[in-house]
Amino acid sequence: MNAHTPPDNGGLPQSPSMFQHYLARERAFKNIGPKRAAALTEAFGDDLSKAILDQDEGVADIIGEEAALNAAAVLETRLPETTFLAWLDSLAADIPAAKAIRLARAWGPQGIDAIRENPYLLIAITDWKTVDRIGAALNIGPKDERRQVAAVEATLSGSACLGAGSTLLASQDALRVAERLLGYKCGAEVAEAAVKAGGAIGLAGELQPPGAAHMEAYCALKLAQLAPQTPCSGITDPDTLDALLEEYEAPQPFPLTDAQREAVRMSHRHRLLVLAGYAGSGKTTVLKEVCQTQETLRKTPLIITLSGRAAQRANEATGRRAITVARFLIEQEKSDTLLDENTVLIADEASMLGLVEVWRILRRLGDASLILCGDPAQLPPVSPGVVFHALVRHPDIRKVVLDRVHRQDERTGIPALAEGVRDGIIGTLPPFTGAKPGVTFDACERDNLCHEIVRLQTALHADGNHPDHVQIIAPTNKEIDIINTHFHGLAMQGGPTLWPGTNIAVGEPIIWTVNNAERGLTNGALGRVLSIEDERICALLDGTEHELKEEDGQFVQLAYAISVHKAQGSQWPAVIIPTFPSKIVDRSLIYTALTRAQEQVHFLGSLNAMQRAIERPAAADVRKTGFGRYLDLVKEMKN
Amino acid sequence: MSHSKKAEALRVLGSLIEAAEVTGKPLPNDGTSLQLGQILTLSGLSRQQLSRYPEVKEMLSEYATTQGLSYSRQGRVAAEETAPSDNTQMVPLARLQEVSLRLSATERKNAELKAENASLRAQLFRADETAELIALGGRIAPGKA
Repeated sequence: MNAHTPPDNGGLPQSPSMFQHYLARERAFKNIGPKRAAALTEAFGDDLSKAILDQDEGVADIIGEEAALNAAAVLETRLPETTFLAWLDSLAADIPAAKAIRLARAWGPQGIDAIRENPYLLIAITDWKTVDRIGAALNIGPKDERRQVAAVEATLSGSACLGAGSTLLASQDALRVAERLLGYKCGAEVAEAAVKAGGAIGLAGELQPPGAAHMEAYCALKLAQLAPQTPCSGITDPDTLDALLEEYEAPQPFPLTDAQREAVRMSHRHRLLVLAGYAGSGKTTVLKEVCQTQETLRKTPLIITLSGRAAQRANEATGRRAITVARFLIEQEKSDTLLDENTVLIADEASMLGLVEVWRILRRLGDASLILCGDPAQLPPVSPGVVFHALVRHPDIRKVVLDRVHRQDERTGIPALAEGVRDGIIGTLPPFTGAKPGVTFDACERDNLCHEIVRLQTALHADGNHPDHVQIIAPTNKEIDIINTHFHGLAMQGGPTLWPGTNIAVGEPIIWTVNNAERGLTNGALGRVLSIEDERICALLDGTEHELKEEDGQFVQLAYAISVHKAQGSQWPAVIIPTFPSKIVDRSLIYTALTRAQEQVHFLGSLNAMQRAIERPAAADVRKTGFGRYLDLVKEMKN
Repeated sequence: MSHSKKAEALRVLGSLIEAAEVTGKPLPNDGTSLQLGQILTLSGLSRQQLSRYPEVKEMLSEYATTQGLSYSRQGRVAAEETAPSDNTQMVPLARLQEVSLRLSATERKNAELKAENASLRAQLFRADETAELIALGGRIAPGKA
């Protein structure tokens, strides 16, 4: 951003050589590289941007008509946005350029004019403090309607609504929070003004942030349309399918349950299948059978999951390609076409998918069929909205619920405890007496937690459990910090080599915290630091060795203990779960933590705290969303 | 009387072209030129109407241009008026003016289409950015405030 750029060319590089460089460098100017940019500059000099915008024939002569048209379109978009950036710069707006450019491109020149008229519109990409400071600097009064509307928008985007995972807020509650931002009381007319101005969407007397409302309405409409449809490639002949099922079941130790069989059949009859499976109910068995039968009929199942670890697990469990949602969307964006009728898209661990992810997936669905498969008792997504949980509960969405525990999983006692937690009940749990399948509980104070963990780990490791097969999953950051600090202290006693710029030593367990599809690293990838030699750091993450750099230290955290959210989508043979009094711990958090274990769950802490936690309503139920109402509206429209 | 017949002929032909555009099934052609005989049969217009009303020819010419076709199949032998009468390559002035007019009209149309193309491309860029704005959850459009 350059505040000194004159306005005549909208802030684009002024000198011919700079403009030439800009054309060659910006990827949006397709098929214009250094040579073509130089030829254009030679031909038009100072008038090059004008020639491109006017679609001078000479431009097409040099770079071809397609590239010339594209360049004109890009410049048409860029001109106003560069002017906009310069204007924001002059206001010292402190808004990231990428966000400002996004807004400018989305709204176009008229939108930019509107922002100049009403700088409070910047609330779409920034926070209340920033926008209110800009408003005050431009002499917009405290009681100005533009400021009031923005306060409602800030409320809906803030911790009272989107920030808390909700997409809906009662008008009165929204006004109460907005009043705190405005610094004075205001009436219902402010909410009405916000709706009228496009800053909020009214839904049955409540308010929604517009983007969330748009996504919920789109998802509800699309899913309601898909639900009664048959697959675009046609319904599988029932006799053929029965024969395939028989063939699959013959060598299996356990026959499929009726519900499992029905789920497989539905995947061949409907474009949308909502498959809700609680812990140990044989969801993976169904997915394997869906994949097998579909592949036999020359369809292509594609499994997508939110986290990299979940994709890895789905791949191991089904033997099929499983990729992250992020990777799927990148691949789809590169492709010119949507999914075809022979694709069966399977979103595994669908309870983790937030509204944005579901919306993005549905936009790329094309003619494919969709299976949403997840556990509705688990935590709601990290991002706002609740789609899968709401679909499972909605009476008009056809679904298969797998709630019978498979015999092979029953022996661990984990599914029985998980069912109890779902219902708000925990029975008596025996104390830890050694490494064996089952669930244990040992009371301890927070001060003594780490010593108790050491006691358990020592016994587990002595019984042959690899350290990476025992994971501590803590419901709150407080316990995570205590545990990581304690065990890091122990690791440092031997004076190990440290990762430069961090407090992480060679040999320590780590978690990678951002998505980087190009490097094959996903947020939540777990592993250990294998070696540190000067600036070269080698780490094993999700089973793959990665060469990391010193600056990657900012994306890595210690992982002796990890949060339940980070653990979601993964499983370990044994998990240790500390439980202490906390208002944020609810039954879905405990349920999700304990169902990460394949064989052993060991609770440590306060049984009373655990009991109180599971008596609280599940976090997904606490979120206020409009998705279910939009599903109802679609039904009313149909009637 | 003849005025209303012309209007009727133009209306019928207009409807035929519109129907062809809506259904995506072009008027009869051989891939390079319109097949005027078949078009006349289809529309119920007579050959006289085609030759008598220049507007009919103009309408068909415009349609042919939009389809990338010639108005009429060219004979192997060039028409007398366009054939060079001697080795100076001269053409009749009227013909030159007509072609020049048509060329400038086509160039104008081409410029309009290119501008529209660029504008639509710009809108496409905006659509992607709007999707990203929607994904943020908050305000989607500048609205009226």
